[in-house]
Amino acid sequence: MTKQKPLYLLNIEEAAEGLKNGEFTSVELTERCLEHIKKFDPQINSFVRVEEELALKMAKESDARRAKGELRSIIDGIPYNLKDVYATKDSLTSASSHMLDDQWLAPYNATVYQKLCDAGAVLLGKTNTDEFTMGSSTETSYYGVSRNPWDLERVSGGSSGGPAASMAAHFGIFSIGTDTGGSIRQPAAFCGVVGLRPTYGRISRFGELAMASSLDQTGPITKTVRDAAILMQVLSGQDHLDATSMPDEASNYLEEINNLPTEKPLKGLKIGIVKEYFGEGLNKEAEDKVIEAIDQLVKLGAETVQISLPLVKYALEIYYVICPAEVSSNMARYDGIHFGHSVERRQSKEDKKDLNLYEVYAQSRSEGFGEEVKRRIMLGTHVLSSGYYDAYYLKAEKARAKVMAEFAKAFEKVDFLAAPVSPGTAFKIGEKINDPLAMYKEDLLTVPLNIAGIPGMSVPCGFVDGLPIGLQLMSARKDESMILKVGAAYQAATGHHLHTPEVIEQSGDLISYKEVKE
Amino acid sequence: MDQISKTEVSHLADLARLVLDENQKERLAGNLSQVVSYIEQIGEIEMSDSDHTKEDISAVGVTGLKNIVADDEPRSLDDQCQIDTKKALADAPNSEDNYFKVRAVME
Repeated sequence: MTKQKPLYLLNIEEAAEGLKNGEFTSVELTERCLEHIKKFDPQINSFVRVEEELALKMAKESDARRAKGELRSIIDGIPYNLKDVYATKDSLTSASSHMLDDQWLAPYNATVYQKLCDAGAVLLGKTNTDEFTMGSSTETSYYGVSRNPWDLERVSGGSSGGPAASMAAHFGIFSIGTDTGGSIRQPAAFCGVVGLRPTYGRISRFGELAMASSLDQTGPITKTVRDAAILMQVLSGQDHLDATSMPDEASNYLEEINNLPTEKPLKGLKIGIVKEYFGEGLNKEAEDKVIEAIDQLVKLGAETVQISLPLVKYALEIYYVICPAEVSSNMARYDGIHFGHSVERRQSKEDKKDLNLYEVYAQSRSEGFGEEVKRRIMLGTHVLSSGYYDAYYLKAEKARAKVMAEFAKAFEKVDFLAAPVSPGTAFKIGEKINDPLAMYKEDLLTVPLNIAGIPGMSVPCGFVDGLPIGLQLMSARKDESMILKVGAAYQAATGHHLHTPEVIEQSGDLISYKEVKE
Repeated sequence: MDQISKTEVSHLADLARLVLDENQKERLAGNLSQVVSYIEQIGEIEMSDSDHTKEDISAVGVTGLKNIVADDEPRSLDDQCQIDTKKALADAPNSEDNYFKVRAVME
């Protein structure tokens, strides 16, 4: 099978198998990926920076290791891309912002990147995001939106729109993104790929450009759930450089999946169907697809339990207090003094005049940041300011503790939750960007788990009018095992994740913009 | 709570070290007012004084971890987090010797 399929279409397991059997080398695999990216990414704009030279160098080194029998891991030699929000000594980092555009080379490696290098994976480049990961459509990126490979007039979702689009278009074998309020799950759903957001603390945040420190988490964006399981094992683990990373070790997720019985793999498991996640506000056809997926899980042996989580309703409000507050603090490091965009770089004395320190800060920041970033900084500054702190931030933290408790209680009765990821399918580019509150509401179904710190995964479960829909699986803190097993069993029985968008189909030369379906 | 006025927006911009023109101030005042009325719904959640205090929350937050500290020892030069001074200063607009150079903090 690997001989007939174009190499860039492979998933991690297939690529690892092909490399092991000598069907192709890492250099060949990497070259095919790079060619494919060059050919089709101009239409999609998922990459901020392709690192051709670096990728080929890493691939060559992997092939040399393989020849000596010194492989580092199952992903040794496998090409991938990284959302452009990680400190990487080998490649510029921009966070898709004018603040860092084209100039900042990190002086240290993020732990996530270090682990991937230690595992021998091959970095193809950095992918697009909403500016500093603030957004749900990748429209706030300084480099422009990443188009949805299933319909180029639509968004890929956000903030990990670049990674998700890249996986749908097969620009690499896997991708790594971040999820603070749904930024892995929602784009994964919009693009028909798998996106997992682990338990908060599972993967180190060291070197990941912080947005909201109590909400951020790295996760895999992949073609299959099994691939996500593999990456979770590579990336998880306590890090002495991240005081919020937890000591609990990841289990052998792939082995657990392989040990599932083939008949009724989900027998004995209880699926929580949360009342508040369905009904009002959801696109009916999208909801139906999710319900169909749940029926499939029942066919695989699970049983449904109706539950209610009344506080889920407030999760978005809690998020839009806590998140901007933490953002306003984290964005303070971009000051025009240490690195990044600065008015001090203006050549002429006239331009710099007699700026005082305050002006250096204020002007550098105002020129460097886009509007959404400024909006969230201001909102955060407001909720933390004297006179408002108790009314907003403190209340939100108390409410957060209550939401965590409510979820924990639910998992005493059920093993996992199944719900939609998004109120509908990918919306059109430009549709929501001028209405911030409407854009924030896109996160309604994803944000509760960030507030609670529990893991969640989006798995493709069908299409509506040619656009992908995602099924969201959620489990108790530290129980990634559960959702990985359920997701893998679901994919073994279905084929939604196996479709390829027309735009990249092998019909020869560059295809011009696909006609928009009516 | 009141709507967020342009004056309030100016005050916040000051605190956040941002410069905004009149149009931006107007737009942000509108955006922020909208979001603030929305987030005020948190007030509907029943809470009592016995609920987690500030101290409880930071101690039993989203990780359940407490007092994660590092040994008070210098890290080895190979440690992943060690930053070469030259590299740290590489993107600074103004530097001198091993220092970042800034404008006067006080007149």
